[in-house]
Amino acid sequence: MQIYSVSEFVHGVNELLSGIPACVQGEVSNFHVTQNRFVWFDLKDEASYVSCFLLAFQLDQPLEDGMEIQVFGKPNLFVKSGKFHLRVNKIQAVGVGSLKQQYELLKAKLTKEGLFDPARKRTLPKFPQRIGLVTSSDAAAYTDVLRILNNRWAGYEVIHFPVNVQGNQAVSSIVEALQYINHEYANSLDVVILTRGGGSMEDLQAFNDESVVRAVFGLKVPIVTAIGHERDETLAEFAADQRAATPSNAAELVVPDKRDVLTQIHTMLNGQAQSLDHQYKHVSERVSTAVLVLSQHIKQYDQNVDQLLALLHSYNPKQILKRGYSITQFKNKVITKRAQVTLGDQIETIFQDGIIKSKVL
Amino acid sequence: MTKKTKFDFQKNYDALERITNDFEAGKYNLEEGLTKFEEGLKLARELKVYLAEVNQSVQTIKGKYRELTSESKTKS
Repeated sequence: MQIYSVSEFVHGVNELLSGIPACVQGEVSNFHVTQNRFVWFDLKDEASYVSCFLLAFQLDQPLEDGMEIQVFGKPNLFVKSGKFHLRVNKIQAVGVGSLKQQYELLKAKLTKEGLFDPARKRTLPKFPQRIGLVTSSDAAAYTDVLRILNNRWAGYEVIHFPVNVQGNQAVSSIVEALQYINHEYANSLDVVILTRGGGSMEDLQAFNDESVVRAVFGLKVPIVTAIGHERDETLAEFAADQRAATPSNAAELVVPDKRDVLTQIHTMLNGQAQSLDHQYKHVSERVSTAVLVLSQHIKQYDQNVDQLLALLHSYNPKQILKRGYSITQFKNKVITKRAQVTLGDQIETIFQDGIIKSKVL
Repeated sequence: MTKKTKFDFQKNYDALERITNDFEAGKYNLEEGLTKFEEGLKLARELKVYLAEVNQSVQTIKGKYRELTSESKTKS
């Protein structure tokens, strides 16, 4: 029999074990991370458990004790300790309980990061002209969205980005579509609808994937999501700017109803016409009043001038001439005293009907 | 040639009022009275002419405004 050194033995066993990749399903226990780099947990069932190991950067989803998972990897011995473990390549949660647990863990993590912060939600454009539709071509959601858009509005363009909305390719195709939009359509699309119809929690799982949620969060165009039914709350929807209850509802949120807009336009026009009419009447009344007041003023002044004239006439110095008095002037000055004239002065005496010129003797 | 200055209605009206008040108060002797009387008559004449002109303008405006309002009523 061949005698091995310990390290040779460990190395030899590892060579044998590396040829038997395995998928093992069990419950996670004793989950912990050391030095922020090494992830350890045990996978157990009623009778046994097996140690599992992977590097922290390989862990692409939240894990917690009690979760039911499938682990893909290879059996291995640690070189130093010779201890048996499963070297993990991929983890997949199984069963509604585990998916829910994973969902809650990721939700808590992303909430903490601010991905669902209501303050960062953008307002949707009121009258979008170019709408991006990210969904499967075969989905009922696709035709629902197009039908409702067409019923409600016109003059827009829909650009369809076909993706898988469930299955193995779903996550990568959705992420790629959203990245493509960011790269090629960031400035030309007004709004994006990401949608799929109802399904089981497993069916909707792609929309709870961290990379999809981050792609929704990072989209440069305002995005409306409608995933499954209203009761299904996927994480991608929390990261969107607006969440719609159904695909049809997403279309309703994105474009206004032309009938409503027409009614609004009519109401606005009527309001403006009424306001203008009111202003016209107001100004018209003011002009009439002003003209009236002006006429009255003129009349009043005219009467005043007449009264003053009558009064002035009553003081007419020449009135007294009619009663037999006369006015005597010398060089156009009224003579009121004897001393104002001397012998030989030429004087004028004014009577009511004329003037007599005479000489002082 | 001197430029015709704008007729100052208020100033002239006040002057006429002042002359009449002064006559009432017996402020003028015969000689002043003769001059002021002539002055008062002149002022009154000018004021009447001015008021007649203004009144004519107001009537013209009134007529134009009436035309405008009846036009807009016909249109609406």
